[in-house]
Amino acid sequence: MAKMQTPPSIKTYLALMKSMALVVVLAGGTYLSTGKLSLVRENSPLPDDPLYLPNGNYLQLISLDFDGVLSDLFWIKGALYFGSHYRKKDHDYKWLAHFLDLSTEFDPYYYDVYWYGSSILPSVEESIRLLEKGRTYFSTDWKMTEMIGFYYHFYLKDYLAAGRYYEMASLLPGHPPYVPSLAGRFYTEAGDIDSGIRVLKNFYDTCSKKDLKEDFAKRITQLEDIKCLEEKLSVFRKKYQRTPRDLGELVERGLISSLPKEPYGGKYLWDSSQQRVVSTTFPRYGST
Amino acid sequence: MKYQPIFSIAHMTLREGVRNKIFYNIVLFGLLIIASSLVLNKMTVGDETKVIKDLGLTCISLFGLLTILVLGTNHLYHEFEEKIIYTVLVKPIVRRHYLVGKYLGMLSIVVIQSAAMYVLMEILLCALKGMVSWMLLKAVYSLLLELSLLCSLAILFTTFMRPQLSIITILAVYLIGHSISEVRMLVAEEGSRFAQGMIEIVYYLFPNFDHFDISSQVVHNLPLAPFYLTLVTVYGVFYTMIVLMVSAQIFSRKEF
Repeated sequence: MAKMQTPPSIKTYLALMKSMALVVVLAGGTYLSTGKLSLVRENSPLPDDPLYLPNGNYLQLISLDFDGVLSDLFWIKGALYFGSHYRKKDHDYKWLAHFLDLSTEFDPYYYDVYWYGSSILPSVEESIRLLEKGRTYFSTDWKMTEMIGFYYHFYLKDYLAAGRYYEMASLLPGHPPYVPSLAGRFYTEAGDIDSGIRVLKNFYDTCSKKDLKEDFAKRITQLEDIKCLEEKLSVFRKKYQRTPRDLGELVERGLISSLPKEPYGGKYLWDSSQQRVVSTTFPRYGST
Repeated sequence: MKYQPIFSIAHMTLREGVRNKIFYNIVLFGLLIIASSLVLNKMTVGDETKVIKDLGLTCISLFGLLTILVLGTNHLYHEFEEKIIYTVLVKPIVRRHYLVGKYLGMLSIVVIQSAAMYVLMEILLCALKGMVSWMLLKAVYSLLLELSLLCSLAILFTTFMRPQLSIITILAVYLIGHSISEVRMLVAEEGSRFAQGMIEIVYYLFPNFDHFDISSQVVHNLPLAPFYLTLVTVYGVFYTMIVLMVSAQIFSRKEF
């Protein structure tokens, strides 16, 4: 005979409903409180001080063998730190360099940190410092060296330093042809025409592409012309105790037989504002 | 008394816990690390007490988690496996009371352990600066709310999982709970609508352990938002109660 199953009593139903009501209240409370807490946390400023230890050397003592993971962690933290301040539009990135420094302390061969990190750092000096650190580990990478050159010429207007870095980049494998050209250009811009010519001649000697060689020959000629004209100007100044009206006066006074032919089809001019000889064609020095 | 068995089981669990050698090892190791902050703070520039506070709070959190993982998951499973539970269930005791008793016992172990670490932290601060930082109590309280929630999760998973799997699952929930806010922020910026929807579900479904982390504010003596501790208490207690209710439901249907 089949066993009779007793139906659940009202008391059981009531207990079940009580439990369900409690779950609903608890879930509702959890939902509301987490929403409110998220809002509070988003709006309350947290200290940006990321670490209490000053540099990665000490941290490495206690990092065990998890250097790679810690490096990733600091890079991600740095990126999130940058993103959160960028979003807030306060552009207060004072701890960013510290994050990137720590990341590269743990993993000095983390190329992305140097490359992308230097582009988001707020100060040019910090960017250069990070790239310099990267250069010690990526000594054959022309891009980092070239980037430092760029920071020097574009932001700091230090053309001599820029020329040096472009020259160093031009000695590294894989660099594009414009790098030695820029080295020459910025040496000249800094008044160090000899260095400019040296860099271009070096590239001319080692370059195997005919069209590039022709172009570099023109640039060398251009710099040599400028150098020659500036030397004659110096003689003119010594002799007449003044600067000439224009370069034509050098010919009139017999210091040169004729003005040299500008290799790109332009002409050479005396720029009194810069107190130097410039060319009207590319690269027109003094027009960075 | 109706709830007397709960306290008896809690007391029994606590007694068994503190007799366990692993518990002593964990506490001792935690205390040693906090004590080592005396050496580490020499490497800092500026406020030396910050290292002690940071390291102390981290130890309370991490070693609390470790205790829950090692003792919490194994203890209940051991009772099931060794059939010890029969000797308890034959007595007039409601199953859910048994579970709540176990939970409270586990929580007491974690509270004692955290209290020991907190006291050591205050002693070190007192020795170094000659003052006690009562603000730290707020951070410790918040961490205990987090640990109590983790305790309830350990109870929940142990009711239907083996200890090894429970440990992995708790760790996964712990990681999700600590990173979900940042993931939500990233997805809100760049994610697709589908991803945003999914993250919203995960965000509200999983416990958000970030809410319990007020160590930065406490260490830097920054004011907490009004009613923050109340809100976080509501969140922690309510979430824990839900987890315990689900655990009790599963446990009451479990066949041994």
